Amino acid sequence: MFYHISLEHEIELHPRYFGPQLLETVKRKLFTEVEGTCTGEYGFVVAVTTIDHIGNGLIQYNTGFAVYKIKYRAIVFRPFKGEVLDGVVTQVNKVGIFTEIGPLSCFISRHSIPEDIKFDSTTDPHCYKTVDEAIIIQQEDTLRLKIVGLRIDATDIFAIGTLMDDYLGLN
Amino acid sequence: MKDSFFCSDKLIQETLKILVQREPKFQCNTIDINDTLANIEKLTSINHHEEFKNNASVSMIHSVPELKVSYAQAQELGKADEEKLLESRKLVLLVDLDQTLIHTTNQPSEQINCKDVVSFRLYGSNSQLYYTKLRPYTNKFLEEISKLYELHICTFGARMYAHKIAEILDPEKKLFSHRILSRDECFDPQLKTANLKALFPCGDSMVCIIDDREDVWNYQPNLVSVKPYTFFKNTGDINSPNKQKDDMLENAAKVMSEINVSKKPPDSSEENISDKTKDESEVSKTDDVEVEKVKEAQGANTKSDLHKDEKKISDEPVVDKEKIVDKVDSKNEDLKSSEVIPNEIEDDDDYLLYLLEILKKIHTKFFKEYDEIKKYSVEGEHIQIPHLKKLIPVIRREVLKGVNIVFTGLVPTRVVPEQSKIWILAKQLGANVSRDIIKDGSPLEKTTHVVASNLNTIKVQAASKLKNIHIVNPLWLYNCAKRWEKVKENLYFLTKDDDYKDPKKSKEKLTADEQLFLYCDLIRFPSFFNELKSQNILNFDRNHQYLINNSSKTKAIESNDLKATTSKKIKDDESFPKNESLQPHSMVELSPLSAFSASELKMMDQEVDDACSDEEESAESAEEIDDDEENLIFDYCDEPKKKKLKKDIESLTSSSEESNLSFEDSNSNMEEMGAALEKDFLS
Repeated sequence: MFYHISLEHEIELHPRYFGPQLLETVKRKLFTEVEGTCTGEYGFVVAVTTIDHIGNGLIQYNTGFAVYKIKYRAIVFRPFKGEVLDGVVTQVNKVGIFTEIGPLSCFISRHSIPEDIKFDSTTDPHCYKTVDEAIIIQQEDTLRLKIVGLRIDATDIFAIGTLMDDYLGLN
Repeated sequence: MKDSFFCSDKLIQETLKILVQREPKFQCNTIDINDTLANIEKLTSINHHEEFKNNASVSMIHSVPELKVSYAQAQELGKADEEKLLESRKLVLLVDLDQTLIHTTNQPSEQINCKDVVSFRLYGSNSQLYYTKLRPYTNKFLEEISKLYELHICTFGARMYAHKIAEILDPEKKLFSHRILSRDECFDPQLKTANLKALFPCGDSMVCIIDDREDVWNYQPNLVSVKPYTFFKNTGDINSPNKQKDDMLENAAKVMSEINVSKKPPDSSEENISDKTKDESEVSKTDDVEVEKVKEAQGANTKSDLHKDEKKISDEPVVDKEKIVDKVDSKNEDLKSSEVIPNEIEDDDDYLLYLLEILKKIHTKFFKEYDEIKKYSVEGEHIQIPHLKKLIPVIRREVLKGVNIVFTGLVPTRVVPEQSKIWILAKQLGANVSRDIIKDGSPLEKTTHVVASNLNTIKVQAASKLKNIHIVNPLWLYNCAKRWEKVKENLYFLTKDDDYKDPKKSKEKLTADEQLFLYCDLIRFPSFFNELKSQNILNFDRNHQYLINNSSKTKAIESNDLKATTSKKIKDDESFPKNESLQPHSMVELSPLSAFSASELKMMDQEVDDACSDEEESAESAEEIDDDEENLIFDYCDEPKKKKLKKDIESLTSSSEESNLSFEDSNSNMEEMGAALEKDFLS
C-alpha cells in the first residue's frame, strides 16, 4: 500500500559545499540519500514530494561537516500480508516463480500455484502452464498475486505470495 | 527464530529467511523457504518450526543458493528433472568457463586488439577492464552440444563475471538460461563438487563435467578433462581457487622457459618451426571443411613469415582504450568496418571440436545403454538408468585399448612406477602398462609403444631393435588423453636432442599444462634426494629393475648399432661378459639376486652406484624446480633485493645439501608471504 507521510532525515554536508548553492546541495543530497531506500518501519521510499523544513546546519566538532535536520514528505510503499499486488515475473524455475513488485521481490512457491498450472522446462524460457496452454506464465509476464508472508528487516522487506485465490494470476 | 517469520496460510507453510546482497544489476533477492505441507496443525509450536527449518537444506537453484527446499521436495523435483531429461534425450553438462571455453585477462597487452576479444567492465565505469577471448569454435560447440546436453555453467568466477560471460556466450539466454553457478553460490571455495548434491538431489548419474582442472572436481570419474585454453600470454586462470599455488607453478614454468631461452642455441628457432608445422599437420579428420582450410593456410607459413608476425606484434602501438567498445556486437562491427587491426595472432586451438566428438560419444553410449535397459523392462517398472560415473571411464578405456606401453626415463626413481601420474593416466586410457619391454608373447601383452623422455635410455635402445614398436615422446600420451583418441604416432617420434624430463632442455613451446604433465612427479617430490639415501627399499627396487633391463641390454650389445650411441652407461657395458648366459625374465622377477653369479653381482653393484650418481643429476633437476619456487618470492621483492637473493641462491645450489636448506627457508618465507597476502586481501 502507498502512503504519503512526513519523515525526517539528517544530512551531513562536507565543508566544500559551503557557499551560495548550499541549500540546493542539501536538497539534492536528500533526494539521492532517501529515494529508493527501504526502512522496515515505513517501507520503500518511492519519491520525496515536498521538503517542509530544513533545520539550521550544525557544524560538527572534529570533522567540520554540517548536519541538517530535514523534515520532508514522501510517498512510501509498504506491503502488507493479505494485500493483492501486481508483479512482474523475473525468473521461473522448478521450485517456483520469482517476481518483482517494484522494489519488492516476491517469491511464489510452486505449492502456491494452482495445481493445473504445471512447470514446463522444455520450453524456452521455462514456464508454468496448463495442459491446454490457456495459461502460460513465463518471464516478463505480469501477475496478480496475494502476499501471504513478509519478512521485515531493518533495511529491507521480502515477501512470499500466492496465486491460489480468486482473480489471481495472469492479467 | 528471530529472523524468520511464519505465516500460517491454510495450505502452505512457508518460512522466509532472506539474505540479500543488493547488486546493481542482479537484484537477486533470496528467500529461504520451508516447502512443506505436512503437520500444519502442529506448526504452531516453535519446536516444530525449528524442525522444518532444519529440513530445508537443499538449495536447488543455481543463482539463489539461499532458497532452500526440504529434502523430500528436492528428491521429488530432482526426479521430475531426471524424467524430463530422459524424455528429451538429454544429459546434463557442467561447463567450466575459464580456460575451458574462454580465456580472460585483466592485463592489457597487444593481444587485446585481436579479433574476437571482448572487453567489459563489471563494476561501473571506473572499474577494471577485462578482456575475454572465446576459444575458437565455442559458438559452434555450444550450439551443437546444447542439442544433446542441458548446459550448466559451473565456474569459480564471481557472480557478475559469470553472468557477463554467459551473456557474451549466449546473448539470447537459450543455452544456459538461469543455470549459472558462480563462486558466490559455491559452498566450498576449493571444490565444485560440494554443490552437486544440492543441484542434483537424485544423484549425478546423468551429469557430465568438462573442466580444465581435475582437482576442483576431486578427480570425479565423470569429468572430461579439457586441455586448458590459453590465449593471453602471462595470464593463467584469473579465477583460480588456489591462486597462490597456481602462481607458483606458473612461475616455475615461466622460469623454466626463461632458462630455455638463455640456454638455447640460435638454431633452435628452426626446430620450433618444424614443430609448429608438425602440430599443424596433425589435424585429424574433422568434417568441418573450414578447419582444414585454416590449417592448410597455417601450414604454409614459412619461417620468415613467423618472424615477421612477431615483429609486427611488438611494433604495433597499443590502440586507444576508448576504441574498445563494451558490446560484443558493436565491437565486431567495428572490427569489420575499420579493418585497422592488423595483428591477428594465429589461434589454431581446435580442441573444442575434439571435445564435441567426445561428448557426442558419451551421449550416444548412454542412451544406447538406456534403451537397452528400457527394452527389457516391464511397463511402469522403475528403471535403473546407466550411471555416467561408470560409463565415462569405460569409454575412456577404449581410447588406447590394445596398446601396450612401457615408460622409460619418465618416472622419477623415487616414485613407484605404478603410482606415478603418467602410469595411472595410461591405465585410465585403457592401455596396458608394463615395467619392461615384452618382446614376444600374445598380442595382448607384446609391447607396442615405448614412451620415452630421450633416446638414450636402455629400453629405447632395446626397443629400437625390435619391429613394430613405436618410440614416442610423452606428449603423445598427453594428446591421447586430451583428445580421447589414439593420436598418430608419427608426429610424436622422439628425435635425438629431445629430453622431456630435463626442464632445462625442454622445448619453449610447451604450455604450462604440458609442463605440469611432464614434471608433476618431480614437483611432487622436491627433496627426494635426501629421502633416497635413507630408503633402502628403493635401492632394492632399482636393483631389481636394473637387472631386468640388463637382459635386454646385452641383446642390444650384440648388434653393431650400439657404437653410435653416446650413453656412457652403455659404453661401460661393453666390458660386460657376453658369454654368461642370462636367466629368463620370469626367474629374474621371482628372485632378483639368486640367479646371478658372483661376478655379475659385483658388476651390478657398480652399476647401481652409477645409477645413484645419475640420481644425483635428476635430484638436481628437482632442486631446480625448488629454485623456481624461490623465484616466486623474488617477484614480490624489489629489484635490487631480487638480484641479491638470486646470487645467494646460485651459490647455494652448488651443494645440494645447502640448497635443500634454502628450500626449507623459502618454504617458511612462502608461508609468511601467504599470510601477508591474505591480510591484504581481507582488508
